Amino acid sequence: MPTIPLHTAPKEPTKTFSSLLPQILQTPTGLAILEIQGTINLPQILPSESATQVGRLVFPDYSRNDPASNTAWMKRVHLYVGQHQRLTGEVKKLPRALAVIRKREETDSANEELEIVDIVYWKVIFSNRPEPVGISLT
Amino acid sequence: MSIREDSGVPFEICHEQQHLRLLELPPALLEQIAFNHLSNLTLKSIVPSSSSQTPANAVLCTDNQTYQVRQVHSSNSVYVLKPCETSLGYDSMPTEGLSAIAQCTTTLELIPAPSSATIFLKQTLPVYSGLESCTQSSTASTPLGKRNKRAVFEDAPFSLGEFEKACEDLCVFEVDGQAWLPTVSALANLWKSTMSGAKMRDVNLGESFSIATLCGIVEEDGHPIALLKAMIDRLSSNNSDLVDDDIALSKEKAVRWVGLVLLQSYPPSAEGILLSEFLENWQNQVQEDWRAHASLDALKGNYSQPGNGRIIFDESEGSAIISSIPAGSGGNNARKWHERFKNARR
Repeated sequence: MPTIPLHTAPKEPTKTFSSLLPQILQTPTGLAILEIQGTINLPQILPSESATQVGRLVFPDYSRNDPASNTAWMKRVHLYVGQHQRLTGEVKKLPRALAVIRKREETDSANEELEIVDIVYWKVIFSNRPEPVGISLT
Repeated sequence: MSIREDSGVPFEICHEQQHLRLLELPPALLEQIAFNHLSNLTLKSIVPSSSSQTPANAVLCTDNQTYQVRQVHSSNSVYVLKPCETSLGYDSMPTEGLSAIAQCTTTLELIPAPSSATIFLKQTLPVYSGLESCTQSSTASTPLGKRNKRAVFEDAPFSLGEFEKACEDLCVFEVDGQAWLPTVSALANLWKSTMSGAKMRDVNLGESFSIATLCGIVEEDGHPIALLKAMIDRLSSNNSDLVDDDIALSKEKAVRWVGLVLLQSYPPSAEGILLSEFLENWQNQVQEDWRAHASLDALKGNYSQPGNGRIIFDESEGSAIISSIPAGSGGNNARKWHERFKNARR
């Protein structure tokens, strides 16, 4: 029976902590989960680009100075998509924590090994329809 | 850099997506991983077979627990984000942003699986039924060739802890690199031989003794020493006062086990065995000072009484002694056909 080891921690932990997101949303390695009820339609991918800009993620009620116990900001998150659309969502605790798993790159054996990169407890979820907005956001 | 409340965090989708999977962690497992730094997790994929009892095609095992892995699709777009440098900031300066490095269309769910180790071993291992069936020639007749416990475990869809527990419960033993499952009658004969050996050498099985004193006699009776050791391990008390390799049997474990072995070694019959006959037989098969303990209380949960002073063996989930009737094929299910139809119609 094929058996694959699943390591509970990455071989080389990469601490890429950034202060971009409210702390609660980020794992030690900087990962976060974003869920959209629907899909983002991307324009044609240009080979010269490594990524497609979608828009911006805004936490309008979040303030770094608030105490951690204050969770009112979680109720409102905006995702601006392109120039004219805005999604409204919220920060939610996952019913069950999610382990993010990947293939371990440098393994001791020739066989495949997996590792848990990090464990995520919260997600940002957008379950509403997009609303039209103007370009007043700069 | 701080969150600019006015303009937010730039968000992009990376073209070179990584292969990441999301695995839902049940609270008990999460606690082990997050706080105890549990390191042994293995994913086993099950080769589909008609006899396979598990609906999942993969299981995740910790040291002693097994979870079935189920893949659940989501119609939502789920992205894993990671901080990155984005060169396409709104002001052409590179700024820090978030990049979707993976999109996960499925999540893996874990469902705690009840131990299937006992059933698996009964279906997998060659049966040792008694004298001289454990020789070289008969090992060759098993379709997969010789397989020791380790090889059997490699094909087992559950954790090592569950495997070892089931092996101990069933007195699985190894001879010449082949694992065997003893039948009830083999165990009953072995116990008889052990008892007469103990009597001859004046050994009290409940107090410290050395296995070596019994080996000669048991071997003379044609029982493999490995089986004797497996049985003694199964019945030994966890007394830590013992010196060296000495061992002592637990009265509770041994009396109950002997009772269950005897009860199962009667030919199966619907009306059962006479209780008085069974009790007498049982009490004669344990050493003098254990006789009083050999009463129905010691068999709790593993027998039923159809009436007329008779007794029938009843395999409960806790029972781990080999039964001559394979689990799941009893007449019990057949009678409930109308209930099964009712369920199917819902």
